[in-house]
Amino acid sequence: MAFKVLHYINQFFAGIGGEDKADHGPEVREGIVGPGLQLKKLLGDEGVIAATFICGDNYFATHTEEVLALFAKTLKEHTPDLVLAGPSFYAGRYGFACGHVINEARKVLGIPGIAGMNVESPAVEMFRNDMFIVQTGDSVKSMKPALEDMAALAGKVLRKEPLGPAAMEKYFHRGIRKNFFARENGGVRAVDMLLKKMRKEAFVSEYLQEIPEKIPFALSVKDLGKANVAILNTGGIVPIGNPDRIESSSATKFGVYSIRGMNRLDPEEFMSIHGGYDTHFVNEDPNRVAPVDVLSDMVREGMLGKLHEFIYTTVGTGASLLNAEGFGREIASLLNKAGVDAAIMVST
Amino acid sequence: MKLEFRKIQVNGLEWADKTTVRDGVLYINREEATKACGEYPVLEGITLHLARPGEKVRILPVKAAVEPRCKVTEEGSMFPGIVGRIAQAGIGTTLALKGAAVLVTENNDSEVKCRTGALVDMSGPGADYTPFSSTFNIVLNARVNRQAMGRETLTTDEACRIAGFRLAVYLADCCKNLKADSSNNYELPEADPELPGVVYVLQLLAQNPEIIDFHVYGQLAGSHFIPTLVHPNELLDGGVTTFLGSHCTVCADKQYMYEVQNSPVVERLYQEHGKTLRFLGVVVHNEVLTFQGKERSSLFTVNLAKKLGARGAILVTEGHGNPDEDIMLNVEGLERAGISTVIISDELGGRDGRSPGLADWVPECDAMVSVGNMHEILAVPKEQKILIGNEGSMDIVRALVEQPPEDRDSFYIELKDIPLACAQAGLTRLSARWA
Repeated sequence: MAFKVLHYINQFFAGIGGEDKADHGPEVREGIVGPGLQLKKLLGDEGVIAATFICGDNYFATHTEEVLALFAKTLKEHTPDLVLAGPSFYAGRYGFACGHVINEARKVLGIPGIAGMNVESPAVEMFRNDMFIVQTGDSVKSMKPALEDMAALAGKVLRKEPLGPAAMEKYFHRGIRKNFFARENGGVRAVDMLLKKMRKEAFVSEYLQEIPEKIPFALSVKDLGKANVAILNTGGIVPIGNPDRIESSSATKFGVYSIRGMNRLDPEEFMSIHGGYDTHFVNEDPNRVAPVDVLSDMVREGMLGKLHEFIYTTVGTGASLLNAEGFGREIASLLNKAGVDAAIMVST
Repeated sequence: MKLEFRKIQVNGLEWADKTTVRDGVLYINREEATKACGEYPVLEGITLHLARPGEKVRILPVKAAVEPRCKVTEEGSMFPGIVGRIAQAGIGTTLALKGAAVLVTENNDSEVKCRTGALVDMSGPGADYTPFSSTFNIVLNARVNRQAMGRETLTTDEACRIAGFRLAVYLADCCKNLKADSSNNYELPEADPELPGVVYVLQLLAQNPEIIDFHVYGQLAGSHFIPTLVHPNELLDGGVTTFLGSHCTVCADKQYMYEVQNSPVVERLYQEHGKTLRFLGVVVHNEVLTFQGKERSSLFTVNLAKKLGARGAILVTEGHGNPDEDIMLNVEGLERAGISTVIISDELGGRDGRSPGLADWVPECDAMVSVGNMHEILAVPKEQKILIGNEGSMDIVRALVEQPPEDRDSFYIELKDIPLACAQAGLTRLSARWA
């Protein structure tokens, strides 16, 4: 049985008209329209374009929610396996619409979508992380290769074939790194790269990263005697039994644990689940990583205003930067809401 | 400095009355070899096992891996300060049993005090990612004392570390009078001064004093160590040794001794010496924990490269996270001194591959060889026919996922738990690219 495809195009490619018809409202036509003819040929027996959804670019931009609601309805009626959108080449509003309908298809039916855009289209950066956007030329003149590349990728996606890297499949990479086995080992590749670099020949770095954002330090606390202070740690201090099942390395979560009414952490109640250091000394006395005992003393002596009633825990070793950043932002917002003035961050 | 390096290729592994190699098969006298590991009051015993490529065998946790090597001549020393006496390493004649490896594991650790995962499958999907599925392995299985492990893990680790090196030397030593299959000389003769000088910067973890840490001529490096220069021949003879131990939560990107002994960058730089470059030497850099310490180590590493007149440097690292700062400080310092750099690093991309791979980055860093995303998950069989090591350690390597693999007899692990899957000295072929 052939796969079903829903095709999205704008008023221009539907033959309705150019910029003067950009306010054309959405409509659904059975079967193929415009570039769909060529797509149908390229898909061959494998795919059938069940319907074509058409909308004027201005109308889409000004009535996005309304159009998407109709698109969702169309998805449910036709239950396609894939959405193809465009190609929209350089066009901004058209590209925007293509990105939105593919996102809608994923949300409504959980199906993939493929767009086709030129590198200069602002929609590329907006949507590339969420979908396949095939790289096209900058105008309708490159329609033929654009459709060929979109159809080729569509075939593989529909058949659930393993895909090659973005560069080989001709789509804008989705910000995803995927492993593969190179021909030579890393050492040989490194020496080759260095020889090229020293000769000032062109070389391709296998990875480059943006410079991470540097976070300025918060202002110092004016009066510690009035401050509400929290304890954070990446040393894995959790209640015995690890209720949140925080991993002992490359953690995917953090935990929040009440210390209300405690003036020290009891080793019968708390332990460390960190895998990257010898935790014996912490399990003897968890205060060695989360110093509830000393801070409680300081509160009693008036040096600190108050000890915040929760501790926040994760495991630092092997965490991805994205996860760690996420934990940081979430914890910071919890602390802000709780009116915490300062935090002690214990790393291990 | 000249080293004659002899190789005997091992293509088979059997127990026998006499430890020797015949027709490519390494025969081992089990009792004698066990004795050669030494006796350790902290251990309840040592058992040796054999694991061959293709067998349905799983070994974990693999706390160390060493290629069997010994000195053939009086001159020189193998693993000086640990097995050999303190004497110059990298001179005289060395014998290596290629294709063989000593793997160190443990058992009886029912409370799983050893937190190192390190799973080696000799067959199946996991086998593709580790070089130790294609070596003939003599597995040293240390029966740990639960009470001792309950107090602390270091004493047990020290016993395992020393036992592994001793066994590696013993195996080669029994073969030192045999005819080698091949032999070559390692030396760095005077080369055309017009050729660009290149240094190998070997960054090693010096963080968890005496646990995940390296030794130079038997001396613990740690945070007090100041980066120093060694001849690459000294690496071949174990002048610098590494060990993973019990608290290595990620083993894919740690430099097992086997990788230090078989560094492909060192091998390639020897080959290119006098042709396209001059190999100036190895700068051993300790990745310490404090930022000030990192700045200090980097200062010395960069100064050594400058004094040697280097024009290029290849930086290999160990670990991730804070050691990324060592890489970036070194790259920044070297590039600003006009020394071209290439780094080898893995990526911590998250299971979906969407996270930035390194903890930091500097504008000067423009050349990296990626040895893969260590967070990527892989389905491996729940069980192999034979497990050598600690059953309880399986809990460490099981990745918590929402959706288990389709094959119900499999479970997911992250590549981080496969030894040398993301080999940061460049021993293996895994890499990552955009998708």
